[in-house]
Amino acid sequence: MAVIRGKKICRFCENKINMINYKDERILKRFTNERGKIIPRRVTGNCAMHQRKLTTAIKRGRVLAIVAFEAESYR
Amino acid sequence: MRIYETTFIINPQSDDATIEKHVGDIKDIITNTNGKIINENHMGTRRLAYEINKLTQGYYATFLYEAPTEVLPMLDRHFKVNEAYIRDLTVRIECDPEDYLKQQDPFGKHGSERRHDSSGPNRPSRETASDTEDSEKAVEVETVPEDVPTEKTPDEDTQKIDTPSEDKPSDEEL
Ligand SMILES: [Zn+2]
Repeated sequence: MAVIRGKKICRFCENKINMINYKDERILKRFTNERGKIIPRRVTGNCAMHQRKLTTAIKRGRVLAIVAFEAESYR
Repeated sequence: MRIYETTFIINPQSDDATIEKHVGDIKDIITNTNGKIINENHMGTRRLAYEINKLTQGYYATFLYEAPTEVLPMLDRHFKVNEAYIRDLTVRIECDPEDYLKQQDPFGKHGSERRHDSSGPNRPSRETASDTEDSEKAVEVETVPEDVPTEKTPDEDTQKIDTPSEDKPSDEEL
């Protein structure tokens, strides 16, 4: 589903999620592209605070091999 | 005393008793340093997102605990000298541990099978959507079944909260 430009809401704010679990593969995957890169918030519509938390979570997840660092073949 | 969460991965190529011992060793280090375990979660063997020491799978476990800072170098040393541990990460938890647990669902349903909660009642189960709004919503977001590639989400609700990465990530990227 395409993002409607100019009408983005932060999904974490929307769902009142304060903490982002770095062990939750699904959340981390949802906000990284197929190369493992973090999707910028201009695309996802996340607010700055949640993007910051998400970035921390993804980086922690990478350390724990829950998500890949980059460019692995899609599994 | 501070609150920390330590997650570590054990080489899964040994028998269950050995793995449990490695998990128990960590617990002992924490408790022997006057630490108090708040929550314990054995997520079990999972596929690694990338190979570590030629391994493709690892046994995951995590402890949430309150302990003095001295515990950190002790854990560090233990992780370092023991080759069974292939990864470890300790983070400081600055919020209320109860709140923290409420928003956690490590590895979803998969993890719950092998979960050994030291404080079971703390975790709202997925079905009993508790009256706290936060945990209820948190569950909602995580309805994507495990191991299903994110491309196809059967649940309509989930699609609404999904990223653009779902349908046309590459269009956006290129
Ligand atoms: Zn937000």
